Amino acid sequence: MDYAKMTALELASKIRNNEISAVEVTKAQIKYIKEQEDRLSCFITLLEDEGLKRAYEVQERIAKGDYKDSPLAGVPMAVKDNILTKNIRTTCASRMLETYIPSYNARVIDKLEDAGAIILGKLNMDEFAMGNSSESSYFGPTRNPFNTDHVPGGSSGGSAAAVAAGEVFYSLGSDTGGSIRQPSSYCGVTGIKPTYGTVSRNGLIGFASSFDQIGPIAKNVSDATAVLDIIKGYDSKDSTSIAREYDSYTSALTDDVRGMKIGVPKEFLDSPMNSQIREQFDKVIKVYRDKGATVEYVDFQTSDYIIPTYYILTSAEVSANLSRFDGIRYGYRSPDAKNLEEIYFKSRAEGFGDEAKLRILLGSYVLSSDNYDTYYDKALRIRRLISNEFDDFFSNYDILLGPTSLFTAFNFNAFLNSPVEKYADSDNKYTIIANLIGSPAMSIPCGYDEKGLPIGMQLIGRKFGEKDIIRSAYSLEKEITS
Amino acid sequence: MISDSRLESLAESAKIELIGKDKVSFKKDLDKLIKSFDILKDVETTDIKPMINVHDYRNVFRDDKVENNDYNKNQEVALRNAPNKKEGFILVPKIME
Amino acid sequence: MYKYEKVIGLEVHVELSTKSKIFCGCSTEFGGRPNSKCCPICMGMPGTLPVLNRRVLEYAIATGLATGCTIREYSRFDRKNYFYPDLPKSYQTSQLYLPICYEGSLEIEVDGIKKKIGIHEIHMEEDAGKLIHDQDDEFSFIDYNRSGVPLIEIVTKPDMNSKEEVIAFLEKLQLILEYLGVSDCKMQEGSFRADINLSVRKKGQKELGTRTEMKNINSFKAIGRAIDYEAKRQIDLLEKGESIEQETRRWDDANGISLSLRSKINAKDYRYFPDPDLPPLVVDKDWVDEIRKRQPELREEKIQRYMKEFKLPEYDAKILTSSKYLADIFEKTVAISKNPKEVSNWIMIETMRLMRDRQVQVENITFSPENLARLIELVEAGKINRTIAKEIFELIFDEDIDPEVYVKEHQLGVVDDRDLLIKVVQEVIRDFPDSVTDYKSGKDKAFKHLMGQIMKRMKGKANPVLVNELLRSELEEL
Repeated sequence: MDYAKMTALELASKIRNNEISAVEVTKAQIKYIKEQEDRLSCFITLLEDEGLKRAYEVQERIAKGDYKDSPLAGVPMAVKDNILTKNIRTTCASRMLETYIPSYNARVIDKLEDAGAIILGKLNMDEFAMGNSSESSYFGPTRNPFNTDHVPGGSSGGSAAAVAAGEVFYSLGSDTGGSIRQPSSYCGVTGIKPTYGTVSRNGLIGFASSFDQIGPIAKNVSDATAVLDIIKGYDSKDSTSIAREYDSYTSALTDDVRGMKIGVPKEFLDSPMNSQIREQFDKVIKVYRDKGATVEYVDFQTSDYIIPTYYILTSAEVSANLSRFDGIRYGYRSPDAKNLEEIYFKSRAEGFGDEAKLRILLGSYVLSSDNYDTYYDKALRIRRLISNEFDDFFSNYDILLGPTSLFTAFNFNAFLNSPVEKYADSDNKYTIIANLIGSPAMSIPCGYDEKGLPIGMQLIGRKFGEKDIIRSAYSLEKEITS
Repeated sequence: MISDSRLESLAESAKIELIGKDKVSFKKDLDKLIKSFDILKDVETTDIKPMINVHDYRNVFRDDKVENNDYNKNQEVALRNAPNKKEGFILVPKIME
Repeated sequence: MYKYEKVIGLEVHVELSTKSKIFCGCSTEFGGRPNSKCCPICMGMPGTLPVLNRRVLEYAIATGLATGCTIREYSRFDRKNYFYPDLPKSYQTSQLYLPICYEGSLEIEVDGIKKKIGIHEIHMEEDAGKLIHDQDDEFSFIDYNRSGVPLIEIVTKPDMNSKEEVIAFLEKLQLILEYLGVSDCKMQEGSFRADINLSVRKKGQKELGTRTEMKNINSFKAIGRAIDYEAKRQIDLLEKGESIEQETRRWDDANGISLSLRSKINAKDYRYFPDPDLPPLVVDKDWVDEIRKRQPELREEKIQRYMKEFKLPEYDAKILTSSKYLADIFEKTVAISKNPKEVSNWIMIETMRLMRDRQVQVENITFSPENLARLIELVEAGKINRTIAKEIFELIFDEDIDPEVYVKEHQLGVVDDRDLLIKVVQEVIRDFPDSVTDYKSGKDKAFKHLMGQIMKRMKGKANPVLVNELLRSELEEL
């Protein structure tokens, strides 16, 4: 049976019905991964033995009738390498943590294991989740399965590429400013960044604490929704976790957008974007209108503030979050260090890549006492200003729609000599906005450009509005795939 | 424009040793990024409160109870990743106070 | 020297006696193997998040209420960023911008003069680990057991002008914290640490001089020495026309000097910013009132109550409340024996005597109020006399014996047997004819001598009142 093309839910159903064994699938996937890895480099750590052992365990339990309420039991998946996995090295794609072994699982890993997931390995990413191409990984970049001269996007590049290439049936990524959605878009898969606080950050190695969320990357909306159902929920060990009624999101998988109010930032009308993306975008708007939703163009006064505010706040938070990597208790310690000061200076200079260092320096700058008011405090207030405007928007609209990225996957080293340009060009303020305000957002694949590289469309909802984005994504997906 | 000495003091406070060409490229990149923040300077925010968290959180607590975990059950686990350890302590080169 | 005055402010760090740490469930118990009371959170491992121990906040509020502070309705934690091996996250979670309490004061009394010392603010923060430098030549050792232990920091205004005032303030603060039960305040164990900010200025000068901060002072006596030394050092510099450098100095008590910590600590920019991992604290009036209602009785209130309810003199009340432990023993014993004056005497006289003789600290007293109450009852009922009682009390103090049982076993009960006593009285009269003669000729001392002899033969157990009566009547008949 050719299950490689199946969705996760389809595969799980066949496993539950004893049509396929989880062990057989796992073996085949591991073989396939090993064949692909030279070409793609999605994995930092492949768990061949552990994965197989786990597959046997899960299969046995399924045979006994376990996992009745777990719709994804027995399905092989993988996890971005900034999510802690017990006794399995977790590196954040950094030399700093090259040999780091955590002693406990992130909360989401426990939840997945309780649901019968089979974890095949840890996936490549931009170092410490900072970047949009996975080129900053200490272990070398991942390549886009559609065209290996192109990046898979970032920072969850490995997570998106592994699903796109069929190495795993779904994966977990993390998103701070688009790091699930942009690589999903570049790799033609579906990714969701949940409402901030609905998925526990316990065990996620932090980048920007008030922006980070873990989320699923999968082959379609239904799969991504099923994964999100598993990993969401209150966690008392995360003080920013929201305690509320978390019912299943799968009830939103209906093809019905009648009466939904969709807003599109007017800026998209004349912003520079790849022409095929524009074509697709126009098509999408028409699809929604035909299906009974209203689509209107909206002006945002604060949109120009989004990117600078994001950079000030995230660099400040990450500069403190990365301070613990000092070579003292764990992590890379420079062999050349002759005294305490050198342990700090050299370990951090040698352990971190350039992008990480740049953001740490920038963060230190904006938090310096002479700059605090001008930059950090100012940015905090502007965050609220922007938030207020978007709260207003969401009181009139259900969805903010736009292309996930203005461009498709770029070439490797396209921005080698101008890293800052890389962001200015490819940063989409309407991707970052979701993290700035805490909203849920999803990217679904929507056609290809003339080079055959995937295009993605993004739907952002109001806070806790997962069902709205799932419903509208499902509906659009139905149209695109038919 | 970041001065050399400012960059040095930032590297000092972040405990990152910068060498030669690093300094030039970081200075360039920092300048660009900081310049891009200028647009925020004139935004009127006097009556706007800072927004640190996206939700209106308040009062998240735990009870005053001792919990056991792998670390306090087994000191070896706690020290597993330490680069230099002895007799249960983590070691650093001697600090002169 | 005399044209200058000292201007002193304090930053007091107090370890709270909660069961678990401030942001994780590790035990705060003192001692134990190194790195045995840690977890990924308090060791700053990657991927960990803090969750606030509610009791830390309650203790901080209780302290604020007991020192007349206003409790801030909206407060947050901030990250204080710096690198040091005992600081696992390379930032300390503390409160800078919105500390939980502010604007309080404590009244102290020195040489009969009362003075109000202002408290600027009180905030919560976490303690760092411990660095040990003297175990090895090449390395310093780090133990993270203490990392994450909850602290409150009490920052005073620079209202003190002498070491006496400083010590009076600290003693009063310690007592309050002890009474609240929020800390065991042991300076030698490090649960109560005072840093001293000192500057000098010419008397009458309005502006403050440049201040230095002194750390690492481990006893009240050392505080006195440090203040004297540093003031003199600063005055000497000023007299020479030199300026004082604003810096942190370490007090070296063994050599009696303060040393400049001329490291980067001095020009530090800690880049404080609000901690996004910890939600704000909203403490409304109702919650504050609830905590206020639950406040244990503080010393001043106890003194008044002892005077009013137990009719004790102020002097006695002050001594009994000089420590919460002593006050506890007193109150518990009174609750059983219902004789406050008697209990008060046993504590003020015998207990404190034995504490001195045996060098026992008040918090290490092990005898139970029940046994002291039993002893008092035995004396009140006339079953034993005071001499015996004092001897028995020593055993109660040392081993917490049950006096009733002991008296029975050792037959120490007062002998009331008239027949037996008459015999002994008559024996003694027969054996000491000279004393009898002396008594008959009016010498009262002789009576005492005879009494003494009778008590001796009875091994002190005779009922003295009865013996007195019998002796008089026998002598009468001669």
